[in-house]
Amino acid sequence: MKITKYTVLVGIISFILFVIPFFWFKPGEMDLGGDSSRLYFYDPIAYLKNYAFYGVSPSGFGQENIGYFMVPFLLLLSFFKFLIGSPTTLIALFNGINVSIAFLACYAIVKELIDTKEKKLINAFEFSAIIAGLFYVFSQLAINSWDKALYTHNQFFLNPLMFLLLLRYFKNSKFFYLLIFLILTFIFSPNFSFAAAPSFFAFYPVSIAFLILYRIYILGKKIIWKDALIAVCLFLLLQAFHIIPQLVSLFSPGSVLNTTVFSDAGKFDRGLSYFISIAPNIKVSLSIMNLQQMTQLHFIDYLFIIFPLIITFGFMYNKNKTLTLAGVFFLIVLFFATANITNIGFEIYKKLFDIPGFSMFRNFFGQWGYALLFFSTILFGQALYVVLMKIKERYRYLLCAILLLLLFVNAFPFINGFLVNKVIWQSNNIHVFMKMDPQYEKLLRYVRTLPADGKILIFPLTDPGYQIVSGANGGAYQGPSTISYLTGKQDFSGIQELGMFQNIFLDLVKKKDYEKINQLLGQLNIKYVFYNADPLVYEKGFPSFPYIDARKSLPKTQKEYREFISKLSLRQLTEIDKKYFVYEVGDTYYTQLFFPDNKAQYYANEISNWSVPLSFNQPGDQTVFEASQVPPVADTSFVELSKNNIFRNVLKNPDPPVYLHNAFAKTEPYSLLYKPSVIKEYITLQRHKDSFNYIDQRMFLSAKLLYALELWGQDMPLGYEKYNINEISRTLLATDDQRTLEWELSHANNSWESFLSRYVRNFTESIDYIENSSEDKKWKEQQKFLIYAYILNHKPRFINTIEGFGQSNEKGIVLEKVINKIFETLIARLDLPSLKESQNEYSIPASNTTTQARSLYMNRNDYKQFSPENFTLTIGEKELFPDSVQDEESWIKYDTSGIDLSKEAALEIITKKPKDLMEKADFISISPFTNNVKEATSLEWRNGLFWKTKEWQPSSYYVLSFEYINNSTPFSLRFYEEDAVSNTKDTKILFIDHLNSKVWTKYQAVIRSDKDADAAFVQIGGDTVESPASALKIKNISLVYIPQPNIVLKEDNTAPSDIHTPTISFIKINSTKYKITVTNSHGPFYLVFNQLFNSRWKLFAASNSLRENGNGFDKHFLETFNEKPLFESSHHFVNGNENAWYIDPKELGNKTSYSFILEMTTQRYFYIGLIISVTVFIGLLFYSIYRLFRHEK
Amino acid sequence: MKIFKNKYSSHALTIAKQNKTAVLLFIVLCVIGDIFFISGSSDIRTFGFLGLTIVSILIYKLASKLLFQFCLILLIIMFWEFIFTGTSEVTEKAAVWFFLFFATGIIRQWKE
Repeated sequence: MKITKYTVLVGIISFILFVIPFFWFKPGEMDLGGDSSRLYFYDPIAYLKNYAFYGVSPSGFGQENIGYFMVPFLLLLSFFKFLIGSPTTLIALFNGINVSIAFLACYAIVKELIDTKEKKLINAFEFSAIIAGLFYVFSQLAINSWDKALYTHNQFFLNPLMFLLLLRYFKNSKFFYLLIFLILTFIFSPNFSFAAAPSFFAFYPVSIAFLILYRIYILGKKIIWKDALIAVCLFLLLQAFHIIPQLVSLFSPGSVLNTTVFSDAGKFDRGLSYFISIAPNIKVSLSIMNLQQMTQLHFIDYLFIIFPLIITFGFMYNKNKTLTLAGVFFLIVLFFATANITNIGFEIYKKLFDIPGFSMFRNFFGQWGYALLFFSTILFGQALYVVLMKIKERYRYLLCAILLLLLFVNAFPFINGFLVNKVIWQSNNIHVFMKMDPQYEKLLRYVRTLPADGKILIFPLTDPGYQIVSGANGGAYQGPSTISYLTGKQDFSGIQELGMFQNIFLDLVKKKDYEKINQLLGQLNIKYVFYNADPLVYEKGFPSFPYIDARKSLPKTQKEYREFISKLSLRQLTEIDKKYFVYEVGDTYYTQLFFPDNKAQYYANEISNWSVPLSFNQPGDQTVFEASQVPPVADTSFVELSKNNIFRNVLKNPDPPVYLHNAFAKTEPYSLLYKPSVIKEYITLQRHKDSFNYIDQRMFLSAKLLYALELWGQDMPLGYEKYNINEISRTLLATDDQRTLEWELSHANNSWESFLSRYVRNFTESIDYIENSSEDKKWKEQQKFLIYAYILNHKPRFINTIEGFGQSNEKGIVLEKVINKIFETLIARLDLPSLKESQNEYSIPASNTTTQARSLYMNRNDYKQFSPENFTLTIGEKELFPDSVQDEESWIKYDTSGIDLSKEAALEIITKKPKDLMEKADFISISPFTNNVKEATSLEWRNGLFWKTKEWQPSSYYVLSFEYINNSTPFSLRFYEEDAVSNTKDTKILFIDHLNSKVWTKYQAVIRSDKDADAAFVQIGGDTVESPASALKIKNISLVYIPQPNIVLKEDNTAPSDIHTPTISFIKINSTKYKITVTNSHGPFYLVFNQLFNSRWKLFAASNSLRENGNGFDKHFLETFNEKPLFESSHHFVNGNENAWYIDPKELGNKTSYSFILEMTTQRYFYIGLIISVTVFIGLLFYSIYRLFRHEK
Repeated sequence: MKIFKNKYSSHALTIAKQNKTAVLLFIVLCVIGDIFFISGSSDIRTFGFLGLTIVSILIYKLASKLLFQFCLILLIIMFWEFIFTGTSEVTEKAAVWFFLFFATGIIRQWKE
């Protein structure tokens, strides 16, 4: 190779680029944290052992977590770490490689693409390639993604490097380049894994298509399909070690990946709806100028117009087809990166979300960002060459100097490390660069020595499972738990990781029920508590994120945390530097990872509140089955009595409205497909006309129409009877014979009237259906209240949508009146009966068997509010009384002697004396000048009457009733609640109702108080501050407490099974494999495994090989390959998330001692794939070396 | 093209050819008018004007250079609006028109 002055220049630039990251860090500093933790730079071997090599997550409940794709990259990092020693240098080295190789590859690509025969001016040729290379590494899209970069960030240099190798292959047909390409795909497999699928599919298919067309149309050569086929096969074999387990997971129904790719929730709710919500913020103009989306613009950004200008000038004088072809692909990528290219373009983009897996592009602008940057670079490089060729020499140098200056000034914050060492989001000026505290390293060493059994709870708990560790230099780590990733101990670092136990835990903390907290920790297999007492990781450094929700219930300062911990039954194991503490949970509470249980409890319904079974259980006696998971033998069965009474259906403030349809709409009213979808809707309704779910179908369609109006209503016109409220309302509410499908279709299908007409018809038809039904009165009442619930749910959503048009929007003003009129008429047509306390009843289902005795329990906390002087429970005519009210029991048993609880019956709550909070209502008149009412300051505006109650109980139900009349001026009812948890006692508005009636009218509203509620206010006043309701009259006002206690029926097996409690010990071979030894086994029992349920956990008969606890590589990894799993049909989902096997020693030849191997079988696919991939990799490596030497010869 | 063999269409073609400047000016004004004076976006309008441009390319055998020159104007409009209004509706419309004319220019250049 001839060395020219340009070769030297390129070498110097590459060296400078390589060196830049070394100046970012002071000795010992690292940029760790973020979603991928980047702890693999700090300790790649630990990361490999604890995360990548095993398919079970090291944190939380241990869900299946496929990170195998990291293995080759981690081995590479480990090799460099071994050579270098310092993680700081390792990070700088990889950053340097990223920048310099990206530059070199882009430089080489541009040179390859510019037709060499035309390179009359060598300086124009070289300068355009150099500037293009610098454009790639220094443009805005490139420099803003370096802080806490994910492992997929290697795409920054891999994209141009891989493109270069492929380009060389397509130009020269030398298979050697493909071999190098394939070897690199193995080493950097994270970039070719499912985790990197969006960036992979955004770049490689487009690039390969470009290269194929380049070879055919520019070079005039044919594609060598044999090479292509071999390369694809070799690629798949090289990636087999992570692709095979991923495919198994992908096609396993119910897996996270399967749900994301194939379910409608994954495709539309998480995919399309997210795409639709962010798409309006993405600007084509910014992408054309290669600027970052959704960031604040600076002066320098405006100068980036020079790049599209040069590209356009380049095309004006272009005579080279390569540039034209690159232009086509640039536009394709620009389309995918921006989405907002014409309405039809946007519609096509949306249709792509129908393709399974396309939802990975929901965050499209980021995922196509690097592909856009790359194609902009090769386009710019070639265009610059054309421009430089056209201009005089002095202008040529001037232009190059301007471009270089612009790129350098733009990249200066990147060059000096400012963009990498950012302040951690919402922290108190704490930076990303951190130096690991030697005392914390000491703590990590200590944690590694703890026994294999037992999970760790980390305090202070965060929201999302992040952990904060402050560095010795004042910086901090914020990312996934360092304990689990670096020590391999399973832990909970955030409240969200507690899953379904999250709310129970927070509730117990709030109630300061330390005994129950101890029990819960023990039941969750939490043996240790790690407490980081550093104020910098809590209130001082991170006053908000990541503790926003956790702080609402947990202690707010480190001082309070110490106090909280001192109340728990914990034994301190160690203390390091008065900052790091490790405690042990008392043995009396602790439940092992594996434990035997000989009793099964069965809940007939899906358990919504896990505090119910937890409160009935004792440690080691907690095998709970629910719903369809019926145990082989149920020793105790529970039925939570259904509270599906009308009070819950007609809540003014449902949260969340789970019983209502949350429909999704994806066909825009402007679309040609819209009319066919309306016809389909009509046909569906006709089909359901006589079916039991006709009302349900109608309500679903109404929710769908509302959703469509929320999405597109702003742009939809008000069509025919323009702005005539009465005419619109009359037509919409007209009787059915006046309106038919043809009427609706004849109207512009994108008008509000067309939508509202169909919306209203769903309600009127449902009401008619109820009226004409032959069902009993009770059923009719229930159905009417259900429809009323939809009306209550939909009305505020309509008003919100309309208010979004703007305050003075004429269409909005008309529509708000129309909507109010519609709902007013619909409620009147429903003709709802008054809410009565007598409607507060529970239904007792009939028992399947008569052999079991049933007993009735009420939750003690509910009983406290359920004052017997005011309320009684009755079944039929018989009044029920508590059997015993002992303080230590969580549940109070009722005396049901003489009542046959095995038959279907209704349990009524009779209100002897309603608990009316407004009995002595003392309303205060307030005005804008009122100063003596403290709470008035938090009201929207001050007028009318004001009333406050302190008796407001959290999580309770109340009915507000009154009769009213007002002659002309409408008035408003505002209901406020005060939050008791937050420090500032924020007042929030629960609902507003605008009322108006010229005759005495009864108003009723059911309200549920918040779980943190402390007090409530009612304000009755004018509709606006200017219109006080002076002519308003109100009588018979009341706010009545409606008890909704948790009531459970317990069925005890009349013939309890014999007690057989074997002894269980286990050895953790690694996180996917355990050896379990059972002794003293004399009868069937449940073997409970306190890890997240997965059907791929399988039991095998154990061999006699000796095993040790650890997380090392299992030498006997093939031992179960030919073994048949044991007790597969009796593998159950228990305790809401755990595994249990019903072990009957008869099936083991009545042995009293035996051993099992428990294995997560996904791990086997990894081992098989790894053998294939490593074999192919070594083969390719040797073959490449052979080709290299043969070539040199 | 067969359509131009028809007596009426060939007459229309002759008129169009005689008024090349007026037709091209009309297209330019339509696009600029759409950017500055018409709020909201309509595909019928956008693809109507674009279709007219493509027909003009066929009739007048316009070179891609002319289309890229118009792209330059659109870029300047986009930039101007970007400075004074940020990523406003007008800026975005100019950007979309740039995309469409750039795509048309590239296709034209490929055929040249």
